[in-house]
Amino acid sequence: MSTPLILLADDEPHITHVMARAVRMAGFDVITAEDGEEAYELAAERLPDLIVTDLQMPYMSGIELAEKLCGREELAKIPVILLSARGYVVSEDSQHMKNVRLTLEKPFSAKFVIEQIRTLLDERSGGEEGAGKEAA
Amino acid sequence: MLRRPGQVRPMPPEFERRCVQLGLLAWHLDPNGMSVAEPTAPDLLAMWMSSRPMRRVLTDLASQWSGMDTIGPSEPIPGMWVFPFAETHRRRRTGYFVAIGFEPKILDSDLLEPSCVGGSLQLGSVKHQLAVHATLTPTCAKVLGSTLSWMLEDITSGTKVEQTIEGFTEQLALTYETVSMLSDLGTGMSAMGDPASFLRSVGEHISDTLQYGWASIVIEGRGEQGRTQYGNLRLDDVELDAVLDRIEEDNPDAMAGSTAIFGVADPGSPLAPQLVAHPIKGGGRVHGVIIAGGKMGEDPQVSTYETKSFQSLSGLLGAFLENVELYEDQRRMFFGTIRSMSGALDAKDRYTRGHSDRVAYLSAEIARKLGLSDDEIERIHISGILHDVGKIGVPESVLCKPGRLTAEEFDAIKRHPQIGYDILKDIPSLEDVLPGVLHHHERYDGKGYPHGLEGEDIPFMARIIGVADTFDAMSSNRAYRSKMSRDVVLGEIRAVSGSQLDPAAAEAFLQLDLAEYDRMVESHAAQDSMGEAA
Repeated sequence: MSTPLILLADDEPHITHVMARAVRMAGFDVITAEDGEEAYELAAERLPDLIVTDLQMPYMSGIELAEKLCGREELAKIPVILLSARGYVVSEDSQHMKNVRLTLEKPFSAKFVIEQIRTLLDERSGGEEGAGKEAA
Repeated sequence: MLRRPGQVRPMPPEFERRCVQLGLLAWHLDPNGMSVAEPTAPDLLAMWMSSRPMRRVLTDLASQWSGMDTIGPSEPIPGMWVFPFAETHRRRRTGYFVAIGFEPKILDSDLLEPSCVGGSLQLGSVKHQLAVHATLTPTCAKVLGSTLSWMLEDITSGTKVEQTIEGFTEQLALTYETVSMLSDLGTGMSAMGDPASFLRSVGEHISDTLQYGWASIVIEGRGEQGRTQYGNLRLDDVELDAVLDRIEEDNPDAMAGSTAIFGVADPGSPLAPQLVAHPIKGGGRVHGVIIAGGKMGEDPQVSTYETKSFQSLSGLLGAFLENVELYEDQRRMFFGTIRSMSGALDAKDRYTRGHSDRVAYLSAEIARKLGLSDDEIERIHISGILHDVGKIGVPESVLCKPGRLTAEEFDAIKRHPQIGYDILKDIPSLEDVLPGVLHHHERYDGKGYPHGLEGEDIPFMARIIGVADTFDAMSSNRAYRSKMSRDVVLGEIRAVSGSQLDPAAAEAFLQLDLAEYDRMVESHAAQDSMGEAA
């Protein structure tokens, strides 16, 4: 299996910088976007295995990004982790989107986010294998 | 680092400066090619470039650029080179930085005359200025285009790095402030004896570190203790109830431990635009609530960075208040226990009723007069309460005997300091007060009991209690004699100072105002007669 590709989207460069470094050190490939629109374009072009996105970004918020990803079959299955500096907004808005697998409040520990990335990726590959076995 | 919308970003100063050094004009244009700021050029050339015909050259170019993803140098009129660079913000084109250079053939341009007429400029002067600047050759123009574009890329990426560092620095400063706040408060939590000053410091930290204009720590007292507020925000009971009701209403989970945030509609309110409240829980009980509002700084909205800090603060406060309560309970139990011991003695010997309290009071006052510390005064006070507790072990027939005691009976009485010591010696928290109990009948001249200690060898606590005990004994009725008058008693104290009593302690005692002591005597006497009537 190839190295999983993680897309990080945040309009604050220092956050993407820290996260990208930590995620890369953890053995993943990383691409970054500085707003929701760029994140969507990159997601469509590169089909990452997982997206970690900030909630408040210019042009397209993290919520709007998740919604838009839901609109295309090949993008809808990419798990999304939402990071927010406004926790109470996320919990209300993201509940109906099944690709938003986790919402985390800032400030977060990069170590914790990486653990969550691993768990979600394991679930996904585990789920696919499971489905394959059932079909067999 | 955050930019408000509409704020004009200037041209990178490095770009501007280098253009000037290369003999080029620098101009900041909006997406339509209109001037954002005066072109950077010698006055006359700047005015010439700002003339209507020359401006039209640039707006025409900008309308071509608007349809292009990548833009490059062009020669819109013979001899005039325009090097455009897209200005972007958050990946959107927000305008152009333009460098303009000239070849000598510009001096023959048809546009020169109309542009000077439109701008009321003297053609000759403009030509003269232009001649100085018109040094480009076609080859040089191509090289310059690439060089400028690399330069701008470097400048832009440098600026981005600077912004990132600024972001890191801001974040680091905030993190440092928060860590230092939590560390300060963690250290301050041991100040169990003075909870009010700790709670005030928490309020100050919310204002100073988390940047809230107004903060209040509201503590609901136990039992009959009322509600207390600490911090710079004082709400009256009605306002506070309204806030607490809203917390319950808007966020039923708030009291269960989550942060409630709600808008403050009145923009004139010091709490606007948002009020944040977090319950303080400890030992399974809600002790109160942290309320803060009037967020300062660039982002007036309450962020999760802050709510996390409120959570930490509330956790610290909960543990602190729980400890304060346990400490108070323990103290109450401690004092309850020593009082019940002295009460047991009072029940046995009516002549000494109230004696322990009065000796405790006088001993503490003597200690205060001698300038001892609060801790020492408290220890002496407790020792005073307990000094005669050993009399519990002396037969009632001896204690209350009206007549003269036999030698054996007197020996029995003299055993009470040792008995008291034995009763209390296994209680660790009373260790400090034992010297007063064991030695309060020693005499300064060494003729006392139980150990016959002399002068400074007698623990200072015992010497002080000795004075108070002697005074109160002579001032009260005893089974074997009636009380003596105040003058006689004071004269007697003076007389035995230096022999029976420590002279320094006796001197300090003689300086005391005895009004409170007399009030205690009256109150004890009243309780006594009520007891007899019953």
